Amino acid sequence: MYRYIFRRTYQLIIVFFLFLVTSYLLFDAIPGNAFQNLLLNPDLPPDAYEQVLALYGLDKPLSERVFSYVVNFFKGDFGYSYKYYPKTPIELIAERLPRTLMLFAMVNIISFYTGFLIGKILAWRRGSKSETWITITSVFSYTVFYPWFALMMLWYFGYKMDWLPIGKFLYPEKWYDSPYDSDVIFVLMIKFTVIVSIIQVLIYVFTKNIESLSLKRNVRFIGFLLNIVGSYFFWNTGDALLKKTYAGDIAYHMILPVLTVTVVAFAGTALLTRTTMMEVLKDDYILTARAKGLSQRRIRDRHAARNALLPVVTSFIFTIVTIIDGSVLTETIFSWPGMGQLILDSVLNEDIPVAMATFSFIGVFALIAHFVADISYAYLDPRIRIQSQG
Amino acid sequence: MKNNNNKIEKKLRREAFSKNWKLFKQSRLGMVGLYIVFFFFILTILQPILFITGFWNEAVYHPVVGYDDLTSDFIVVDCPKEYPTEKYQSRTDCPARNEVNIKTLFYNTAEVGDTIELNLQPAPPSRRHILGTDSLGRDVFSQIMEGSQVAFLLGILSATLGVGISTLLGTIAAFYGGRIDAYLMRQSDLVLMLPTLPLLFIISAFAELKIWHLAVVLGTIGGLGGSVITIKSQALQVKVKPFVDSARITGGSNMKILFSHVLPNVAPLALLFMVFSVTGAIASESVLSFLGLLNIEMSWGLMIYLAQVEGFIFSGMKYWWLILPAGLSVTFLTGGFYLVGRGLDEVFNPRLRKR
Amino acid sequence: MSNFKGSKTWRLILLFSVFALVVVACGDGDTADDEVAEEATETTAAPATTAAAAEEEAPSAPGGVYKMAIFSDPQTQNYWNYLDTENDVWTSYVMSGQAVSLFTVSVPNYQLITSMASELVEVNTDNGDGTFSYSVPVAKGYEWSDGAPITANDWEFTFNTVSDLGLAGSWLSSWPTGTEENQGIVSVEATDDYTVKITFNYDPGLAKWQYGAAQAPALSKAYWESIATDRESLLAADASSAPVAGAFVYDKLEQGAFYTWAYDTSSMWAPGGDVTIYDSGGTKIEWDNGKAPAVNETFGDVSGDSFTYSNGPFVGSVEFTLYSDQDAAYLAFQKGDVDFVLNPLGVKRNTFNQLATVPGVELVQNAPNGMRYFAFNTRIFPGSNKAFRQATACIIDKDFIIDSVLQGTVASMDGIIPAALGAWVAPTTGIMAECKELDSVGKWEKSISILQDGGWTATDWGEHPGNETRAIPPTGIKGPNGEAPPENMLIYAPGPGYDPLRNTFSLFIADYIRQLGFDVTARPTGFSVIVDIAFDPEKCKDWHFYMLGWSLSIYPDQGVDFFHSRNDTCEGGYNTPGYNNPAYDDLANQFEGAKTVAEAIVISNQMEEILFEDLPYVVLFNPPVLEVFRSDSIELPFTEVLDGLADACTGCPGTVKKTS
Repeated sequence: MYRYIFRRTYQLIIVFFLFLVTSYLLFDAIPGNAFQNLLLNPDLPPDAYEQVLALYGLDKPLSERVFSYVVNFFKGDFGYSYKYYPKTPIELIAERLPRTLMLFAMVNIISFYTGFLIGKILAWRRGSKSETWITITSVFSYTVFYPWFALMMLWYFGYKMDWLPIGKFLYPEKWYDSPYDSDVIFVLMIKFTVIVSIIQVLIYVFTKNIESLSLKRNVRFIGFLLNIVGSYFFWNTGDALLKKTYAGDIAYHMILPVLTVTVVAFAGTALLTRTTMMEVLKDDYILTARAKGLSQRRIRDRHAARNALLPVVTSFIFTIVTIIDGSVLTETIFSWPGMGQLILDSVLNEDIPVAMATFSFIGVFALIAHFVADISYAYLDPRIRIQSQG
Repeated sequence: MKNNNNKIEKKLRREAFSKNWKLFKQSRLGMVGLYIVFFFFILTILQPILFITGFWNEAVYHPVVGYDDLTSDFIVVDCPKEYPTEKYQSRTDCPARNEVNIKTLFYNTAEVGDTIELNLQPAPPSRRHILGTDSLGRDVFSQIMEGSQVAFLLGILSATLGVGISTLLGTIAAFYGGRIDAYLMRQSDLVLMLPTLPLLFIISAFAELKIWHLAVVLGTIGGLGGSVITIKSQALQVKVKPFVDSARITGGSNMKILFSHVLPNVAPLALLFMVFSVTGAIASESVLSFLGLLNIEMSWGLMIYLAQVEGFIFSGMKYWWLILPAGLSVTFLTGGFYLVGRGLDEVFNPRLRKR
Repeated sequence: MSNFKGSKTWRLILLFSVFALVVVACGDGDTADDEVAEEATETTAAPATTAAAAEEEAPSAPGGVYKMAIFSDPQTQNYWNYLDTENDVWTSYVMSGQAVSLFTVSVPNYQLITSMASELVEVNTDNGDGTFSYSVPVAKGYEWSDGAPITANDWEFTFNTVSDLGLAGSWLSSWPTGTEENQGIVSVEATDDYTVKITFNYDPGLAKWQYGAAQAPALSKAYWESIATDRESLLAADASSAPVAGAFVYDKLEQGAFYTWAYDTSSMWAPGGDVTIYDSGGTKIEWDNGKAPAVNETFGDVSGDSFTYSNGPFVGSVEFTLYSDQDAAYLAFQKGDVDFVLNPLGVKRNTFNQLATVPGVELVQNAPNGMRYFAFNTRIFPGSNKAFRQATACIIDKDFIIDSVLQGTVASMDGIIPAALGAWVAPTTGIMAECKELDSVGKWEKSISILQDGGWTATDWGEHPGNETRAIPPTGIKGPNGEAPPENMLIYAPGPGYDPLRNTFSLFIADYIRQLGFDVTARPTGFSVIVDIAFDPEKCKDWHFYMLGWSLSIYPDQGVDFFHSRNDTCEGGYNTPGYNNPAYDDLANQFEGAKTVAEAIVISNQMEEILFEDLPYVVLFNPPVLEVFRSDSIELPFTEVLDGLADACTGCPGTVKKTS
């Protein structure tokens, strides 16, 4: 086993190295460069462009640039952004990441939970008319042409109904006198969300073994209430009280993007849950449970759902990796300047240091997720374990 | 003897097919999907037929360079600042039908009160253009049909290519294991690490992406990525089945085992992947067109992009024929393929069938 | 099934309680915020009132927030960084007034006026050693917002910083350093505190002095001197409290969301005074607010009708809100969330038409300072053949495409100077004028006869069957020396995604040239790819035709940049067609040396006459700049201005009035 992990780690480093080189070559293959606009300004002396290229080291041959980039990367030096010079890519990521994390943590929690609930019900009501129609609707909400749908949502809720703000993450007039930067508030909100989620999961885990279904539900509900009361006290005491209005403003602006992405994203989880749960329902032990005369609800919640959860959770872990990737469109349409927009901007502006840093950031995440998944599969499934060692 | 074998095989295959078809027919989802896909397929082949039979004149109905000279007379008015007036109840009533606000005239020397002839584009649906025309005077219905051709071509081409690659690599990885397996898996890791949408931006920036190229790019990215891993694990499960061992014991060569035992058992999963990747390919094309990153002449994404570039997207439902048909086409065709996939899933996965 | 009912209720309660909590949280937030907002208006309003009481001549106290939408995050707030290397338009919009210049132009008439200079110095002294100097007196009494006086030393410091620290990018167009190879500025020195002497190593014309160095930025020496130690630390310096020479200072800067300027109550750029703009082009400035030195001067021809606007600012703060999606920005505008959208390209036509029906929205339409063109490569056959270029220019029926397909949404353009520059525009002459009057058959026949006169031969010259249809193109066409034109020549033009107008045009142009018997195809190509092909010295012989656009500067010296043979792209210049005509070069040199506008106009017209005959470019069209503003909440000093309000005065925050 250790040998396997060791070999896997070693491969991982090689893959990452290849990834860096590949990405750099890709960026370099884009015609022109970040300073091409200088070529289009006739007022500049002809050598101004070459001078800038030399300043940013772009006049060196490609092989030399790739080599020095990779070397510097492992030294922890990511260079300067071309567009936002003299900011470093790390500064830019640190500024953008909290916004993306907050928005998409919310989206994922909500869409995962609703998706799982709906999928559970769908699988159970299998064959009924309502199941068919709900499934078909979910499929279309899953395959809806997303940018178009998001613009329509913005138009309907933001303009036609005038219920929600049109994009952005705050109302400027509320922040004129704010002593805080929005990033501070975002970080606080992320901490809060993480803690509340952890408590919620703990409640779920600790009540798992309670036999009586109604007791379990009551305990869970009380736990949930306590969590809410706790949150209420949190936001009304000390430091958080001062930040409450700002956090509230951000939360209000989050409703529309979260709603929009959830409508599209929940169906994925729902359909997956439906499938896996239908598979589980055919398993022998469910038949046994039925034969034992256990109630329908009990079978559904206790036996079937729990086992169907495993593949769904696995897929959930993988979707976290694609969060930043998928946020490009959402962030642009809802004027939410996060990681997605940073990637898009840096790629379109050929701001290679920033683009490389954001790509590596996502790459590292993806790599670790695959690594963990691989190791745990190998650990859980003896067939694969033997294969891999052989 | 051989002939007889063949006959039996054929008969078995036919039986298997009709059995699977029966199962598929039982899946309501699959059938709904199939109807949708079939509907768009009709649209796809209808357009060339209309052109060949001369029912449609190409100069007018061509989706890219067609132009219909629809004009109408308009009276030039100057909208008042205060409302209500005798003629108009509110600001939204001015200009009324057959009137044009002088403020929105461009390089036209007309005075208030003149009657001028203006183009009617984008023209609303009429008997001549059942889905109206776009702002360049091109028939929207014809564009939808052209977009449908693009979607089918792109979707099926890239899905076939992608699934072909991933099935081949996945089975090879499972079957040979060792270094080959490690190499192929790390290659998938590498492809998966690159964020898809930005990667496509980059590729579209340095390569001139036509439909064929895009299909190859999407197919390759899809084929080298995560599906290899899934197909591999499926193939691994097949590999450890007893019949593979017995084939080995009876002296079957690796190649023969691969092609006659492992591949057929992986095929259903591959077919499933294929149907789902059609969905992905069409959606990717639409998004790229929507962002104005592709240099293709017509597609559904491009139609919406043009409606947006020209400022129609937030017109509410006033110019619905520029926005809804293309948006719904993307949604329904991808959804249709997805539903077919679900239906197939129920055919190939016995545990999903009805109780 | 009845079992499920209970669980549903539970779930409903849960969902409802979550929802209720959100509502409570938001409700709390709203009330608390309202209070804060009210306090804020009071605090900003109070000192202003006292100021107004103290200075009785101040007409009204600035108040209210002028809200503008921007589409992209500014890159920096530091002026040094802004001009260095990569400067985008959004950065310039939000940049506070950290720099001053000697001269400037008045809007909306673009008349050259003095800014910090107390006199419009247009004559230099020849130092006899090949250098030429301008000595400009700097007005006394102006101060930076931190109280330091604005003196000649600021110019000296700025120039020396740019050259010593090796600042790049646009600094080099503002303050080009003169070397033995390059024409430029040799030195900038403060001969005394209020006289700056700028020395060139050549005799500069209008473009390089009045519209060049005299309008170049200078920053506060007192503030920046200690920071300007090396390029990186200078560019990295936080400029949120840098001194400005204007009424607004940076207030709240929320990266990625919004930026505000606040009216600086102690500023000497307080309201008071008028600007009068004359139809004949002149400007009269009468400024006196009791704090800054009073100005009462006229520039240019001040006769005939005029209109006057008062000098602000009249708003207490200016807010730039970021919308990364343009449509969302206009939706917010339509809703009334912002007063003006800063969009250098203007609003889209249909959004414009639609906003026409929204109450409280005023529409503005202005001529742009730019052009879209079709370029030949005059280095290689057939672009090198003048008859071919003339025939092509003749057969392209611009007016047909513009009137019918593009529905008259753009203005047709023949010369390289936009119609809005009035006196500068040369009358269309030569082939272009002759062909303009012909119908499509006439155009085709004329083009064919141009080719025949130019020595082209064909096995069959084809014919034009009449209106409405295409001509039957000539076959076997050969150049004057018997060479056959290459097959499948490409027109690189932007795709429908980047610019539908140019894309449509390119399809038509390709078809027109095909009707002359040439094998030409329009190839939709990405913008950066076209730039790469057209402007790369190494690829200067690799293309036949391309289509792009230029946006132009206020002083129309494009004739020199685009067609002087010394600017050939093969050597790294902007003359992409490789046009080379000694007679034209002579005129261009004279143009560069011209000292007065009248002189420059005469030469410019002669240059255009040659271009109408030689046609390295076929100038095509020019789309108008469409803009909208909320007339129910703001009042702008003027709306008619070349290039539109966003480009001319950044939405005019200094003179806008808030009405509600």
